[in-house]
Amino acid sequence: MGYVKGQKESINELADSLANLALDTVADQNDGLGAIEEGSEEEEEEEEEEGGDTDILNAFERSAPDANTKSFGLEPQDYPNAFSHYTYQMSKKALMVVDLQGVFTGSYSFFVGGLVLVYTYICIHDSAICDMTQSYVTGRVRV
Amino acid sequence: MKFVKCRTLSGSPYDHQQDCAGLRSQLKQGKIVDKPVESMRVAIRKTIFGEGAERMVRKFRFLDESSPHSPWDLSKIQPEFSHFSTLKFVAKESRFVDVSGAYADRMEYHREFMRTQAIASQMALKFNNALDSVFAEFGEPENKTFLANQPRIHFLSPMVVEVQDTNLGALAFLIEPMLDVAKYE
Repeated sequence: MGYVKGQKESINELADSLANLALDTVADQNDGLGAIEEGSEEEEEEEEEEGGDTDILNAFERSAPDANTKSFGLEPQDYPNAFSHYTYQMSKKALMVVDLQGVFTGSYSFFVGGLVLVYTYICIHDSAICDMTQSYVTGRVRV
Repeated sequence: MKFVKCRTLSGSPYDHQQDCAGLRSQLKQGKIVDKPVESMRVAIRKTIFGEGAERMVRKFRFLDESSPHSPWDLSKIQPEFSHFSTLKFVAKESRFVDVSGAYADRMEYHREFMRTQAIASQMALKFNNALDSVFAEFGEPENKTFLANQPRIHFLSPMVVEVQDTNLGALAFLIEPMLDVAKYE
C-alpha cells in the first residue's frame, strides 16, 4: 500500500485502535452480545447451504402435485400462454404462436393423451417478417 | 401436412383442368393427402355464422346419403327427418379473397391457413411431449390422476372440400369440425 507522507503513524494508530476494538468485541461476546469469530462464518455458510437446499426441497415438495390438492396451481387457461412462450423459445425466437381460440373439452382423449384444449384460428408471428410498412394479415408465416 | 380434397359432386369435369392437374401432381408427391369424406353431398348456410379479423365462417354439413329422406334438391328437405351426418363442420373463407374469384387465389389462401395450422400442430406435439417429460418427474402412482387431468394442446385438422355447384361452378371450402360455441373463447 502506498501512503501519503505522514500517514504511516496514523495507520499504526488505527491498527492499535482496531486491536483494542477486537479485544472489546471479545469482551462483548462474553457478555452474550454475539460477536462473530473468524472461522464461524464458514460453518454458517455450510449451514446456510444445507438450510438452502432444505428450503428448496421443502418448497419443491410443497409445489409437487398432491393427491389432495391435485394441482400445481395450474389452470387450463394457463396453458395457451405457456404454449405461446414455448413456441417462441423452441423456435429460437423466430416464431410465436398466438391468438389461440378454441375450447377446453374437459374430456379425456386417448389420441392426444389427456384432457384436450382444442384450438383453431391461430396466428403465427414470424421474426423474419419485420417490414412494418406492409399490412400483413394474421396467420401469415414465412413461406 | 396439407389436406385437400379434389373431387366433384356431380361428376362433371373441372373447368380448371390445369389446377386440378397440379393438385394431382402434388398428390403423387405426397404434398397433398386425400382424405375420405362422409358424403359427396354437402349443405352450406348462406348466413355468416361468425367473423374474425380475416375469415368468415359458415355452417357446413355433409348430407347423410344413406338416409332415404335426403333429397338432392335441398328445397325439398323435410324438417321432421334428419338429413345430415352426425359431425358438424364450419366452412371458412377469406374476407379478402372472393370465393368465386380465381381458383389459384382461393387455394393459396387455404394453403396458407393449413400451413399455419400444420406448423402449430407440430409445435403442439412437441409441447405435449415436453409436458409429459416434465410430469414424468412426478410419476408416483398417487399423482397419476393429476397427470391424466392435465390438458394437452391440440389443433384442428382442416381440409379443403371441392364443391361443384350447378349455379356457381367449382368452389373450394376450407372446413374443420365445429367447436362447441358455448365453450368457445
